Amino acid sequence: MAEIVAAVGVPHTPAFPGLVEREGPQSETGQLYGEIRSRLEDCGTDVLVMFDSDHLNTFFFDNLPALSVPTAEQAPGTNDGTPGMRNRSVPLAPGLAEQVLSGLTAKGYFPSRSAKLSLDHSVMVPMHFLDPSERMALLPIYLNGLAPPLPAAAACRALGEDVRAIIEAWDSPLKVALAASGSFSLEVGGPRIADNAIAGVPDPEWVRHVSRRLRAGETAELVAEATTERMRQAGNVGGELLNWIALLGAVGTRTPEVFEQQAALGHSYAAWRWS
Amino acid sequence: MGAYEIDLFNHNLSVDPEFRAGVLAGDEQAWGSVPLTADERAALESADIAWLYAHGANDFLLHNIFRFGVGGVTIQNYVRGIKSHLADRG
Repeated sequence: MAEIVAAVGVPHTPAFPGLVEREGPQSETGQLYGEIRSRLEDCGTDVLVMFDSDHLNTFFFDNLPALSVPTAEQAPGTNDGTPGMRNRSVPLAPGLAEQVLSGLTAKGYFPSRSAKLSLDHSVMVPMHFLDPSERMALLPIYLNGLAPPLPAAAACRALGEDVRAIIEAWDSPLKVALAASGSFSLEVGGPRIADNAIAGVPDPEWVRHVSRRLRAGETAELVAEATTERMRQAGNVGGELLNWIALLGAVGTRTPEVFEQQAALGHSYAAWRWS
Repeated sequence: MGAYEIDLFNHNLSVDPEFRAGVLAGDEQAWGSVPLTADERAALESADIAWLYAHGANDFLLHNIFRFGVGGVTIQNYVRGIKSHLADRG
């Protein structure tokens, strides 16, 4: 059976690849991603299953899924002109994707299937930093975190639990790590951006609060607090927290081995040891 | 959500480099490829962020107008336009 070896959470700020290119791997951002990357490398990760929210690039309002699992063999990225990154075709994990798709459907979810897609920065920035040698396969599991109505936090937590069980039952020798991509407080392009930038962090206290919950393993409390209204109060992409909540569902009662908060930037970095 | 075509325009800016180049070059084929009303097109051409947001444009997608410099928008103009709604609401 497949083995789950680690879980990690990271932001996907599109300016970060260029920033680290300019400032070097010893910059704060470079070191934070490097710490998380080493956790994945040390345990020999073959496949990264990433809970993610597309930024209306891979999908659009003509047909916007609340939950989607790509079954394609590979996908090009980035599709949204993010600077400072090498565009490439990322190998996906169609065998595992079929297991997840059928497993979730059997458990009562309604995931959409995507047999052809391209990837935006919300997936590609984490891959840029976490897999620079480009050896991992990727399975993004898309949750709608941007366009209300958002999925319920409790459903996302349950989804994570079920995805973990499906992976553990997958007949494969591969080592699988889980990831969450996204911020806790961030407004992009909306009325609560900063006075001199296209983005802003409207609610750094929410970042600190969420981070405290994550550190302490207080998932039930966080799920109860993470209503659509509360997450949107933290910014128009505040629903990305749902990706972390899905990850927490998979993580269970474990507390993070690594946790670094950047409240002023709206996000945190975390890693959980699995065994 | 009430501005599908404006959102489509802003989505295409992000994911379609040919569309983006055509729009920035003022190419009529690119501009005409999204069925905008005259008012919508005028607002996009002049990067009237306040008007676009007031007429239902998705705020996240609106930021692509700034990212790619449609209508010569500056960060000051963008911020003033999008935040004018906060002022309206006191």
